[in-house]
Order: sequence, then structure tokens, then C-alpha cells
Amino acid sequence: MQPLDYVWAGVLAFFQGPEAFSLLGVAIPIAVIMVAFGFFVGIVGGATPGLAGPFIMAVSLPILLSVFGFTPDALLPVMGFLVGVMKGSTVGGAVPAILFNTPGTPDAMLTTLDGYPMAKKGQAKKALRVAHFSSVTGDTFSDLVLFTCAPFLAILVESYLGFPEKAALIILSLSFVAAVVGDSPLKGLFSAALGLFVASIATGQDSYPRLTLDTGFLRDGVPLTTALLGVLILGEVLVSLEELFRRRRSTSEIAPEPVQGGDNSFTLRDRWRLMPYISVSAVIGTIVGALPGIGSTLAATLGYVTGHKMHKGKVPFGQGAPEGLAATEAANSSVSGANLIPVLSLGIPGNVGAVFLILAAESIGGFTPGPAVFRFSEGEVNQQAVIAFGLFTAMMFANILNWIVGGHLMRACGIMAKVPKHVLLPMVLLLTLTAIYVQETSFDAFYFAFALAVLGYVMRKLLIPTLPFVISMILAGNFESAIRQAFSVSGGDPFFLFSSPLSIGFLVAAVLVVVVLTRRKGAQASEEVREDVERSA
Amino acid sequence: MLERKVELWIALGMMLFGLVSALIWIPADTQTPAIYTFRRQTLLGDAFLPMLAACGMALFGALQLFVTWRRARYQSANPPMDGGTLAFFAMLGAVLAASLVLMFWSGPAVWALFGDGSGTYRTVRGEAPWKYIGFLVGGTVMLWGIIAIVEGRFTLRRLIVSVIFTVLLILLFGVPFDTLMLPPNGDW
Repeated sequence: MQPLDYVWAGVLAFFQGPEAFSLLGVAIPIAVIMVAFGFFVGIVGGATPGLAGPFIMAVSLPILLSVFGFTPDALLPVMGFLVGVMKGSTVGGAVPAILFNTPGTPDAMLTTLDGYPMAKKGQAKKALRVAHFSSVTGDTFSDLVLFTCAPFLAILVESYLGFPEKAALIILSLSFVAAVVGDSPLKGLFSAALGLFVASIATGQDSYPRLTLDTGFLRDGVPLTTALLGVLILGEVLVSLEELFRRRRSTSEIAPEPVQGGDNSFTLRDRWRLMPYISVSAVIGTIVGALPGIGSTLAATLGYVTGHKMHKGKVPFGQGAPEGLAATEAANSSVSGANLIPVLSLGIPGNVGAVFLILAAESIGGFTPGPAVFRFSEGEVNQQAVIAFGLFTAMMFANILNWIVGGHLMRACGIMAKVPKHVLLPMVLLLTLTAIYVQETSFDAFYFAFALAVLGYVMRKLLIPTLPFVISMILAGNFESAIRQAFSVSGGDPFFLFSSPLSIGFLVAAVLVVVVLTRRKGAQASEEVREDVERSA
Repeated sequence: MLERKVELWIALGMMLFGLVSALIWIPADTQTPAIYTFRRQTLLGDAFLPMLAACGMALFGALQLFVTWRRARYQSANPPMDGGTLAFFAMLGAVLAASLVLMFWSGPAVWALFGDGSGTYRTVRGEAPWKYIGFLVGGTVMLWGIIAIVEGRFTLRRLIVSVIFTVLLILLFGVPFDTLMLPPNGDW
């Protein structure tokens, strides 16, 4: 099969997969239904402060696995649902930020800067339309870049990287994620090392399971899904609950809804006028998204700052300028597609959403994100490539859905932002515990979950980033296997990681990233201290 | 930003955890060392990955200690944890413990009191309504209790919300899927 045949096979796999039901004699495939359902759930979840895409992905995974099982036929419906959630939650996140000045996620903080002032002027509908248009444009652009770049990058990686280079690349990726997330690269690196350490419990090749302290409790290791849910979701729930406990406030936190009556039209001319801001932000977001770990907050910030420099309109940024809202939303939405470039071409997750996509693929089997996905073998059909192009088709289908109905759904979901956070968070806790239990079917899973929730809580309180921890837990198996094979192939050479210029380059880059960012962030911290001291004096 | 003193303690803790793991835990709790020779072949043992991680933790902790040591003193008004944290976790721990105990034992207790006495709870753990009782009671108490911790009072309205949400979870996970087991039925 030629590459284009694989693309077409992927499209057919999506549209001609197992049938869910038939409508007027036309078979409706289950994958299509699942993408649409995931998209709807994603918008509702994104519009609810306290929920977010990764959380919905996490709790829906056990249900999806139970419904679809562990056969290759399950891959497209399950991953399609998760992709739908990812896209839906991206546009849904703008709703509470615009209507109630309540950013559900850190990147939505920038959406409030111009979105909420527009709502206060009575232009909430227009603000939501601007946010939707910018978001879906940025997202579509980012997906197109993903579709064209990921296969080429994967082919390059497969052609030039041996075991030492792959191990060195994982080290570079972990260093990069560790260095860019959070305030201190060294704390990020500690978090990554801790993730490797926890992942190594009860794994390995010897008959004795390592680091189990000779206990039965640790004999099967730390369950990956439980660890991810514990650190990422439950840790965050604990921090938020404690904050609410301290404040003892409840529903009054959400600002009253402003009266609407301003100019809410959003004409073609308005859209055309916003295009320069959207285009620049989409490029910024895509570049940021392709780098593992940086995330949408930085993309939104860079998009907003760049848009600010370009802006010459009547309404200044920060006072309800549609250009500011468009710049922010296009930038943060274009991160999500590009974030899958390192996942599909290298097997390295760059954000939490990608972590759950990898987890789904690993749980079902038959699809291992990494360079082997895009091996276009001519004799034997590479099913992984077909699935990958099926996934791309699912993403495009979700985008089309987003263009057509996303805006309407978004506006209908404003009510979700009124759910009080202190009622929602315990529900999130119980839902997460239930999702964990139905997978592990043992109370032991609760104890793991609580232990890791406390770990996640402590890490957040001590400003140690959690993302490097979970990413290194996921990559630990591949990393150890690459290192063992590289060492074995080198004949026991202690300098096996320095055996080629490429791996040396990766390792030097890993050190440079850490050194440069430690110095830069250290200088920023000193500056903040100086400003604080001056303010208090 | 955290206070310099707090950051120094964190860095020290990171370094010590790495050192203790590398020097005591890993050598005592792995079968093969980091590098070993077997039949004239030099191989990486099971201790390699955790040793690499532990040495990394110790090194990054030491570097963090050095970097923080050089930083200017800084007084923060908000310590990361204090008495309020302890109070919150004490209450949360009590609610979680009570709800998990109720979740675990409610089903068997109700079966013992009202069942037909034909067998143990294990024999009916897959049958409605017995299989939902523990989750309903424990889940409701967990939700109601945690909401009450934050609000500072128990209200009937929140109890109703808690019951409704727990029933929704049963409808979501339990009713449609025979293969999924709600807590605590997998343990019986």
C-alpha cells in the first residue's frame, strides 16, 4: 500500500467501521456517534468550572473500555470519543470565563480579560461567537499541521534513531517538560525522577519484584491509571477543597450575570477583521503545542501579547476588545492538535489530554503511539497507520461538527457555570473513585488513590509540578527498555549513550535547556522578590 | 513563591529522599544490581532505573539547595501548610474513613438483617438491590460529609443532592454494565 492508500483506508475505517444503527437505510458508524457524543460531553464539561477535558477523559475511560472491550475495533470509537472531549472542552472552557469571569482553566484566565468586559457591555453573545470562531479556526489549523508533520517526523525518527538516540531523546523530552513547567526546572526534574522511581516499583525483569519492601500491597506495582487520576485529579480536588474550606464561601463566588442588550452581531466583515489576530495566534499556538509540556497557558499569553502589539482598534485590549479575545482563544485552541505531534511521531505525551489518549491505546492494545505507527509497508498492511489516519479523520469530523453546532452548544452551556464548586468537587472525587474501582475492583485501589492524591496535593503546595511526574511514569517502560537494549548492543560500553553525534546532541540540549531555564527563572524569581520588598517598603 | 526557608527544607527533603533510596532502599530491595556480569556478559540489572532516578533526585535536590541558598531572603504571608491544613485533613479523613466503612459493610449488614438467609453477601453481590446498597450509603455519606466540611453545616438540601448524584453514578456505571462492579462488591 502507498501512503495515500493508507490515508484513504483510515477515512474508510472511520466512516465504514462497525455500525451503531441505521437511519433511513443509511448505516451510522459507531465511531462517528462516539466523536459527536464526546464533543458534546466535552463542551458541557469544559463549560463547568472545576471540570476539564482530562478529567472527563479519565473517568470515561473505564466505561468506554467496558462497552467496547479490548479489540482493535474499539480503538477508533474510544479514541474518537476522547478526541471529541478534547475539542469540545477546548471551546467550552471559554463559556464561564466570558459569562461569569470564572476561568475554568489557567489559560482561560486570559479569555476573561476581554471576554468578561464584553459580556458586561451586554455583548456576551458576540463574545461567545468570537471565541468560538477563533477557537475552531485555530484548532483546525493546528490539526492540519499535525496531519502533515507527524508522519514525516515519524519517518525521520524511524530512519535515523537507534536505541541510544531514542533513550537520549526521552531524556531530552523529560528535561524539556521538567524545565518549562512550573517555576523551578530543578523541581520539575525532581518530579520527573520521582515518576521514574515510582514507575519502577514491582516492574523489571527479575523474578523478585523490585522496591516492594517485600509486601503484598506493592507486589503488582502502582496501577498507572490510579496513579494518574490520584496525582492529577484527586490532588487538584484536595487543593481546591482546602481553599474553599478556608474561605467558607459557596455560591456567592460566581458573579451575577450582566444584563444583555448590546450589539451582538458578528458579521463576515467582523470575522475578516479578526483574521490577522487569529492567524498569528494559531501559528504561535501550534509551535508551542508541538513542544512537549509547554501547554496552552503560555500559548494564550504569547498570543495575547502579540495581538496587543498588533492592535490599533478603538477599544483597548483588556476593556472588551474582540481582537484580544480572538488572539487568546485562537492561541490556546491551536495547542491541542499540535500537542499530538510528539505523541504520534515519538510516543511522547506533551500534555495531560495526550496522556489519556496513550493510556486508552495501551489499555486496548493494537496501537502503540510512536514512530512505528507511520511505517508505510507496501507488502503487509500496517494497521496502526490505518488507525492513525482514522484518528485524523475523527479529528476533522469533530472540527466540522464544531464549525456547525459548536457555537450553539457553547451558548446553551452557560448554565453549567452556575454549579457551585464546593458541591461539584466532592462529586468529582466520588466519580473518580468510582472510575478507579470499576477498573481495579479492589479497595486497595482506593488506598493507592488516596496516597497519590496526597502526593499530588503536597507537590502542588510545594510548587513541584505534577506533569513531569505523570509523563515520566508513562515513559518509564519505554525508557528502561531502550536503555537496556542500547547497553546490550554496545557490548557493555559505559558510554553507550554517547555513541553517536545525534544522541550526544540530544543530551547536550537536555542539559542546556535546564541550565538556561534555571538561570532565567531564577532571575525572574529574584526580580519578583525585589518588587515585593519594594512594595512592602 | 514560597519562602526561602521553606524552599531550603524542600530541597533538603528531595536530596535526602534520593540519597536514602540510592544507598539503602534500592540495594536492599532489588535482585540484581545496576550493572552486573552474567556468563561473561555485562548487563543492566533491575536496580539500574530506580538507581538512576534516585541519584537524579539527590542531585537535583542538592542543586536546588545550592540555588535556593544563593537566593535573597523572602518572607511570604502564605505558608504552604499550617494548622488549617491539619484541621481540613482531619475532618476529610474522618468523613472518608466513615464513608468507606459504611460503603464496605452496609450491603452485608442489610443482607444479614433483611435477606432470605440463603447464603452470604458474596452470593448476592451481583444482584440488585443488594449490590447497590453499600455504594449508595457510602457514596451519599462521602458527598454529604465533604460538602458539610466546606459549608460548615449539614443541610437536607445537600443530602438530597448527594443521594441524587450517587444514584446517577449507579445508573451510569452499575445498571447498564454487568461487567463493571461498583464498590465494594469486588472485595466480597
